Amino acid sequence: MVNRGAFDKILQAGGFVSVNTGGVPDGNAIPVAKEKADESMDAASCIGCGACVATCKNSSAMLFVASRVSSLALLPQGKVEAARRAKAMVAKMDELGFGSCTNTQACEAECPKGISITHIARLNREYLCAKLKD
Amino acid sequence: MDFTLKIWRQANAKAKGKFEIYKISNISPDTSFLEMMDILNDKLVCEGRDPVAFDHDCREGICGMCSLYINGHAHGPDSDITTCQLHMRKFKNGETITVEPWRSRGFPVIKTWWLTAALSTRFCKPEGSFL
Amino acid sequence: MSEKLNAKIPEGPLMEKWTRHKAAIRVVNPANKLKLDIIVVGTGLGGASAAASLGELGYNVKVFCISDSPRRAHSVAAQGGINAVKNYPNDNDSIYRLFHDTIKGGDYRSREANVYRLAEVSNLIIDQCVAQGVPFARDYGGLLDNRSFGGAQVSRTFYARGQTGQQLLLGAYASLNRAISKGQVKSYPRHEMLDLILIDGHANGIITRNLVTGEIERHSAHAVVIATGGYGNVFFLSTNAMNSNGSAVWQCYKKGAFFGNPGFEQIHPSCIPISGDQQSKLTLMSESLRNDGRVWVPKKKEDIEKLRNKQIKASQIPEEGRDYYLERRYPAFGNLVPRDVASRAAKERCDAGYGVNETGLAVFLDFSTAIQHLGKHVIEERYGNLFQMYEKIVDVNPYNEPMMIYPAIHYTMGGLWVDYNLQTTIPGLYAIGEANFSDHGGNRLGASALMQGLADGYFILPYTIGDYLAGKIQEKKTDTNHPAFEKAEKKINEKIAKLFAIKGIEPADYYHRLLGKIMWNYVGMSRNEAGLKKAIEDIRVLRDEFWKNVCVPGENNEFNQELEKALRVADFLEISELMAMDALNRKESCGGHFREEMQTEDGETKRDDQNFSYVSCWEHKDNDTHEMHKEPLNYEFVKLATRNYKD
Repeated sequence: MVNRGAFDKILQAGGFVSVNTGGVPDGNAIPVAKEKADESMDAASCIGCGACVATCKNSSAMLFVASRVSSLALLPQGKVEAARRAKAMVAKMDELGFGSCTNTQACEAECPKGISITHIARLNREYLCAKLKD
Repeated sequence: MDFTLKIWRQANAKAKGKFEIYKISNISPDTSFLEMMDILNDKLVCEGRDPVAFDHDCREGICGMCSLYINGHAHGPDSDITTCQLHMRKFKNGETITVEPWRSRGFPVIKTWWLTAALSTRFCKPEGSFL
Repeated sequence: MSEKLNAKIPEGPLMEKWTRHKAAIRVVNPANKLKLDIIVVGTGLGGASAAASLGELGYNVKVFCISDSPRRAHSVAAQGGINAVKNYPNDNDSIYRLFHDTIKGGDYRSREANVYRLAEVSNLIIDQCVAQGVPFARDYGGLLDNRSFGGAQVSRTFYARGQTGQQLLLGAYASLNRAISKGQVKSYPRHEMLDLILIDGHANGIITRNLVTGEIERHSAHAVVIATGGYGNVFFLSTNAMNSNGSAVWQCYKKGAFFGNPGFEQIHPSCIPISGDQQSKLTLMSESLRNDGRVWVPKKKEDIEKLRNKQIKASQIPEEGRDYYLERRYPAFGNLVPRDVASRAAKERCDAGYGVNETGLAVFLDFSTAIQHLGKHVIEERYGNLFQMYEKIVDVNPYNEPMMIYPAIHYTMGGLWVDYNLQTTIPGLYAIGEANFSDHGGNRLGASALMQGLADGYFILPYTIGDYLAGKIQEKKTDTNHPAFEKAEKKINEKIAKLFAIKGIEPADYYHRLLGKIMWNYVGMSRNEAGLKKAIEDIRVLRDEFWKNVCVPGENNEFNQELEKALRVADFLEISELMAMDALNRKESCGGHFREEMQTEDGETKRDDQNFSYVSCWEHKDNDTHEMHKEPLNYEFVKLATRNYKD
């Protein structure tokens, strides 16, 4: 039994859409392409178990972070603050002592929900774009 | 089915851990891995020994609580499942199974066993003998 | 009727009650909110949404959960969907229709005003979740998709594959995380509430146990919200998570909060059947599967024999040899009858000897017709994760052979009694989601639990709690050295010490399993007077045995899962008795509560509106006795009728 509180802290750094309860538009006001919604759902299947970190020789949490960043970035509702989110979550992940990703793909192989490392590619893209704008 | 379990036991993040060996028998192949661990723990409690601490909750693969490293794989040898969805039919009869917690500097160990001294040895009544 | 039982239902026409009430109740100004503390216990859909919303409003919120993260709460396991009356499919849905379906589905034992409000706010929930980035299923045009659920003739269920609960919970949890990051909410994972603190009759705090260190902690607040879900785990084998328990609710009951309809439990028709004695829980197969799955058993006994001996497979039984008994008995709703009806129909066939597995306790849920019509890829897209889950557990591929299912305990409609404001009979103590009794009567419709949890947490409690707290703005924070805290903490330490001192011979699970057997046999799908009386006796004997012979190893000041279990089982051994007493009192059949003495000639439930049109509200008395009060149910807007799903 281990303490996975670090995952909560990473999500608290930015794994959300900044909306309060109430005062939001109708659910059908903004159409979302089915393919995007489906891909977002693929990423959102993450259950936060930590198998990706446990199996990674670098103790990287990239697949976990990528699943959240990618899921939200694919939807218009989450796109608005995608850059800020990617930067904040990656910074928190580094701060908490998780290692960096060296593309071994062990995380994808062990993920119980079959989350693809293509989401890590999307996270990298979001992160780079955000950094370039700085 | 019968198994030998080699389980990592560690009292807390700072303590030194070690493997301990347990034997377990009469397990149905349709039993889930965590149900096998329940049976082990009930046996340990009855014998006055310390049960194995492990996280679990929904037991249907969605809450993300369970987290055992089994035979060198996160969530064990089957693919696309969590520990709680793993069933004993995926192991060979008589196999030695190694069980460890997640190992990562991001996740400190809380506990995989209990510190207290063993209670006196006792015997369990068979299930259903009461009432 | 006890004077405490004022439901505070607003005057006026049904459709104006909530609007008028909102206008009439008090609000707290932003500066004063900063001075007020609220405790929320539980982080499922109700707790997470309430804590986040209250934090955003400016209150100081403390949120507690027993898991290592709020995201683990068992709402996460809800599969099929969430109802709302958007009427996007243009099939003539409306607030009134959902209201009426819910009242009817609950077999006319829920409160009209509460249910109407639930239907009224349902649309806001969908909008909120979409804005949070919940990836609901969509059609190619980019708009939200719907599916059908039991007890309704319209398609009003929104879904995210077979993981709707997970996605809605991640949405609420994300909002909670945002509130935590802004300092509006403080989170206490791995903390279990062990007692409620009353000062001058008002809820003013809780006692918790830190599950990692064993430390007993005191927390004070101006109001306490219970969102800890139901007590279905009383049955040991259920679809609930292993750690779900009724202890927080039970402690509130013992401190004086009334318990509403404790005997109303929901038995879900489609769960994976029990496979053996070593099983620890039952896994649900979503009700949404009944959109495309057809339920049947063989017509001929010789086919049953061959199935049990594994001489034939289900797929080899020809069409004319199959009895699609739901379609036969309930032509209008077919496979989409409500859960209680489908469960009893399965039991009826199995009791008659048509159960399709070795234990005789299973029926088929067959997708071959749908696969022929729609293609395998469509079925895979709709239910892929459920099919995978089934195959991993049972080792049979449901694309080739039908699933086997059997009913199992799933949800408790009963819970803490609350008024229209979701306040219990204790001032300052609120109960939301499955933890309260209010909206589902004798049977809950599918896809309505998610709706109720989020309605309570996002859109109802944040308004109604303000009315109470507006009277508290002058009140200082309660000192946790107050004698009420001292006394409660002492009592808990004594209880824990007592458990360790027993040094008995059996683990807590042993008693839990036996309790589950008593409950399933006598307080389960089918109940009668003699059985319920026997259950009460057996529970008392078992409880004595537990307190004499349970073995709790280890110590309090450490992570001790056996101690956690023992404390919860001790409470289950008390809750169970109240459930049986309530079921014994209600000499009528309604919803999930089926009294064998009260049935029609063709085995349907027979209600007794003359004598039982009330909520049974139980009050805890000294010496652990229970007294029942009645809250009469006055149907002003709906005409009471016998439920008919046949035509």
